[in-house]
Amino acid sequence: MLDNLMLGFSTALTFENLLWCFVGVLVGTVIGLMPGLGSTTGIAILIPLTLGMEPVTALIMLAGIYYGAQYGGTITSVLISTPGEAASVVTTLDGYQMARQGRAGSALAIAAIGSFIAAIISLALLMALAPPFAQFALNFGPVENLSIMILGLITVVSFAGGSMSKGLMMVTAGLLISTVGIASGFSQARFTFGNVNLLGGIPFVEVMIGLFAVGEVLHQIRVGAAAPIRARFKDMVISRKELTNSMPSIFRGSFIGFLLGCLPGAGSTLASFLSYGVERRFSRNKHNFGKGAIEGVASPESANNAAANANFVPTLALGIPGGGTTAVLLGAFTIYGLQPGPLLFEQQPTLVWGLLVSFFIGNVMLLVLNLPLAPVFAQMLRIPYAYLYPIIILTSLVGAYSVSNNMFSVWLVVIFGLVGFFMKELDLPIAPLVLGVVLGPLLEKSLVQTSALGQGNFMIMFQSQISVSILSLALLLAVGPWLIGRFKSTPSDAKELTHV
Amino acid sequence: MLSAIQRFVPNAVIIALGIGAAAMGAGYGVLGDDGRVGPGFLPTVAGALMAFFAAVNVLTSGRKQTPTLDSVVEEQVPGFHDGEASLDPAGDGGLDIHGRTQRQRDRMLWTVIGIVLATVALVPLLGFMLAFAAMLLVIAVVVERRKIMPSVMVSVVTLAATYAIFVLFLRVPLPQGILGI
Amino acid sequence: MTKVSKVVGITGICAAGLLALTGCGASTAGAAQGQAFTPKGDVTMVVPFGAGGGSDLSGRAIAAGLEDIAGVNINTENREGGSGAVGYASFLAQDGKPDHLLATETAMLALPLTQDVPFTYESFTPIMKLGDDYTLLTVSPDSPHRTCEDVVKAAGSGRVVAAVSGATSLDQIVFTLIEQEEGIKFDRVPYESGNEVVAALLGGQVDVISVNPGEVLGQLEAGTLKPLCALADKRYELEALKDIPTASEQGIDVSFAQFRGFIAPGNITAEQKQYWIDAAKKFEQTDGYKKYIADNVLQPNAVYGDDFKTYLAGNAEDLAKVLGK
Repeated sequence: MLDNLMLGFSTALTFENLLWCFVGVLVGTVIGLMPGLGSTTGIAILIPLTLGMEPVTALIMLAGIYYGAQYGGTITSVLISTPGEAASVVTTLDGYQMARQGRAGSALAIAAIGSFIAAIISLALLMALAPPFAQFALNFGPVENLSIMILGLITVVSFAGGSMSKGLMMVTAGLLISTVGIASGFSQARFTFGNVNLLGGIPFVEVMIGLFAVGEVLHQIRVGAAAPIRARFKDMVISRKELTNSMPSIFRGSFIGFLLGCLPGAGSTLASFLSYGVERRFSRNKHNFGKGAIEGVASPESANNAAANANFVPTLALGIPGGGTTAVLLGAFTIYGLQPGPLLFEQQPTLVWGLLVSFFIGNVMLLVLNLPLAPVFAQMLRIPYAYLYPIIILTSLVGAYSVSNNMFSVWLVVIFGLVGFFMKELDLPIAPLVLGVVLGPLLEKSLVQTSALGQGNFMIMFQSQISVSILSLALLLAVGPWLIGRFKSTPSDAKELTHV
Repeated sequence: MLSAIQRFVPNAVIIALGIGAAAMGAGYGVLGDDGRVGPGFLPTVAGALMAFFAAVNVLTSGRKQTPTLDSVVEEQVPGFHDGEASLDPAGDGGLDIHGRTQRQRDRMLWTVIGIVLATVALVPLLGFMLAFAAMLLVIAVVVERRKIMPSVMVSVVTLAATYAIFVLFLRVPLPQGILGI
Repeated sequence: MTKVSKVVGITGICAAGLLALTGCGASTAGAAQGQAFTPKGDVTMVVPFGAGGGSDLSGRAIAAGLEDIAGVNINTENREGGSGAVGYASFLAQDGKPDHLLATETAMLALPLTQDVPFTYESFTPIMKLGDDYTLLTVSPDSPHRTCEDVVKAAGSGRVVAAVSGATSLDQIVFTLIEQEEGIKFDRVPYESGNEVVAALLGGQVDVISVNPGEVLGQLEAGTLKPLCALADKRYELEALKDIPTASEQGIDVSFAQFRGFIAPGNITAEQKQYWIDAAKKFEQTDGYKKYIADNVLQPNAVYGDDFKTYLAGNAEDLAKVLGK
C-alpha cells in the first residue's frame, strides 16, 4: 500500500505530469464555465490532442479536466444560476441565493473546500477499498437500481418548498419529457410526431440550460434590473463560523457521494440531490435551505465530487465505467493501447497509482487556484446586467449547439427557456423537473429490466436484501422528519411541519 | 397574488397535457407478454400522475395560500425578488433602478424573446456568428438603450472570446450562412 | 452624403470579398465534374453516436488515417440520438457534398427496418467496410455451461436469461438467429450498452451474454468471464482468442457480424466516389488501420465501393428476416 503510494507520487510529481495536470484543471474550469459543456464533452473533444503524450500523462490531464469542469460548473451555478451539468443543479438552489445576497465568494469558497475534503475522503476510500467496493457494486442489478431510483424520487419531496403537489407535478412532468424518443429496450418511438430529431429524445442538457439559464434571464428582465451586486470584501471571504457549520454537511455529503458513485450508472446527479435532501431534512439549519444556506452548497458539492472520484472504482477495478465521463476515459484507455479490466491494478501499477495520486494533486491545485480566485469570479456580477444577459443567452445557445452539433438543440433551449420563464412566473419549482428528466431514462430502464427478470412480477424487489434496505431508507426519509416532529414537538419543528 | 383564473389555467393545461400523454402512451402498449412493462408504461403512468397532481394543486391552492419558496425568500430578504411588483395588475408599480415601469419591462421582455427567436431562425441564412453578433448589438442598443461604442466593444469582445473557445480551441463547426461565415 | 457613400463603398467591398470567398468555395465543389477530385478545405466525419463509443472510435481512427492521405483537416462531429437515427437523417442534408463522410455500422440497415426514418442504405454512397465485429457467447466462470450447445439445450428445457444491449443491437440479432436456427427461446433483459451487459453477467443478474471481444479482453485475460464460442465464420487469430471454437464447430450454424466502415452522402460524382475509395485503399495499408483493427479485435475484411454496396444488400436481407415487422 505504502509502496504503491510512493510509486504514485514519484509518477505524478514529475515536472511534465504536474504541468499537464495544471493545464487540465485550468482548461477544465474554462470548459465547465460554458453552459452545457461538461466534462464528458470536454474530454471527448480533447482526447485527440493528447495522442502524442505518454498514456499516464494524458490520463492525468484528462482527469484534471474532469475535476476542473465540475468546479467550473459550480461557478456558473452560483453566479448566474446556470448549472454546467446535472450534478450541479442542486447547487443553484442555495448558491444562487447566496450570490444574490452578496455572498458569492463564500459560496464558491465552500464549494472548493467541500470538494477538496470530499476528494481526500473518497480518494482514501478508493485507494484502500476499490476492488471490494467494485465487487459489492456488481450486486446492484436492475432490482437494486430501481430501489435507488425510488429513493431518488422521494428526495423530491424535500425540494417542494411550500407545495408538495407542485413538486410532484413537476417531477412527473420531467419523467414524461424523458419518455420522448425510442423507448429503452424497445424499438417503439414515442411522442416524436414524425420528427427525426425527436427520435433521439429531449436531452437533459438542453432542458437544463433552457430552464435555468435562459429562463432566469427572461425572469430577471421582467422583474427589472436590480443594482449590480456590490459585495463587501468581508462577505467575499468565508467566515470561520460558516466553515465550522458546513463541516458535518461536507462529511455526510462525501460519504453519500462515494457510495452512490461506486454504482455503475447511478452517478453524481443522484448523489447531489440525495445529499441535499438529507441535509434539508436533518440539518440544524434546515429552515434556511433554499434561502442561501451555506450547507445547501457544501453538501451537494462534496457529494458530486466524491461521486466523481468513486466513479473510478468500477472503472479501474472492473473496466466498467461508472458514469458518462469515465466511459469516455475508458475509450481513451483503448486509444493509448491500455486494456481496462480487473488486471489493470496489477499490470499497470505505475499508471493506476500515478493517476490516483494525480487526482489528489489536481484537487490541491483546484483549491489553491480557486480560493483566491473565488472573490475575483464573484466580481463578474458587477458587470451591468444589460451587458451580462445577452452574453448569457449567447453562451447558452452556443454551448447547446456544441454538445450536439445540431440546431435542433438550440431550438430546444429556446423553448425550454420560455417554459422556465413561465414556471418561475407561476411559482413552479424547476429542480424537480430536471431530476425527473435525468432519472426518467434510468427509472424506465430498471423498470423494464426488473419486470423482465421477475417475469412480470415486481415482488422480486423484496427478495433482495439490498433492495429492501434501500426501500426502508426511502421510507425513513419520507416519514422520518414527521416522526421526529411527533416525538419532540418544539415550536420550530412545528413550524417546519407546516412547510412540508 | 395570483388570481383564481391565473392559478386555474396553467393547471388545466397541465391536466389536459397529462391526460393526452397518458392516452397516447397507452397506445404504445402499457404491458407486454405476461404482464411485463412495455414502452407505454412510463408515459401512461407519468401522464396520469401529472394530471392527478395538477388537480390536487388546484384544489389545495384554492383552500390555503401555502408559503412557497419564493415568497419565503421575499419575506426574509425584502426587495430581493420583485415578484410582487411583477404581478401588479395596474402594471405601473415597482420601478427598477433605471426607472422603468412594469409595463416597459414587459415590453422589453417580449422584445428580447422576439429577438432571440429571430436570431435562431436567421442562423441558416446569416451563419451563427453573424446572427448572434446582430443579437448582441440589437439587445444592447435598441432594447437596453446603451451607447453605441461600448455596445460594439462588448459585442466584439464577447464574439471573439466565443470564437476562440468554441471554434478555434474546441473545433465546434458552428453553422455557416449563405455568405460562408 | 459623403458619409453615406463611404458606408456603401465599404459594404460593397465586403460583399465583393465575400462573393469571392463563396465563389471560391463553389468552384471546388463544381470542379469535380469531369475531372479528378481532391477535397479543398475541411472535411467532416459525422459519427451518429456519442463520444467514446465504438462508432466514435472507428470514426476518429478513419478520420486520422484519411487526414494524412488526403492532406486535409478532417473534423469529427458527434451527432447522437435515436440509436443513430438523428445522425443518419442529418447526413441526408449533405446530399451531393463530397466533403462529408459518416462512420457507419449496422444501425444504417437496422433503423429503416424498425423505425420510421427517411433513409435507407441506398440513400448514401458506400465507400469502405473496414472489418467485421463478431461476438462471443459468454457466461460467468461458475456457470455449469461449457459449450454453446449446453446453453442451447438449457434454453430448450428451461429459462435462460440473456442480456441484450438494445432492441436492434448485434447481440439481439445473434440471439434471435440462434433461436430461429435451434427452435428455442431465450428470456431477454434489455440493457443499453455492452458495458452494462458485461456488468449484468458479472453481477449474476443474467445467465448469458453475447459481446464483442474488444469490449472484454481485460475480463477474459483475468478469467472473470468464460467464453463458450465465437459466432463467427472462422476462429480469431489473436493469441488470447484462438482457442475459442466457432459456433458451427459446436453444431450451431450461426454467424453474424456488425460491420464497421464509412460512407459518403448520396449523389456525389463518380470521380468523387473514386477519390475516397482510393484514399480508403491507401488507409488499409497504414499502421493506423492495423492498430485500429487490432485494438478493437475486428476481423479485417475490407471491402470497397460497389462491393460494399452488394454486401449491404445481402446483410439488409438477413436483417429483415430477424428484425422485420
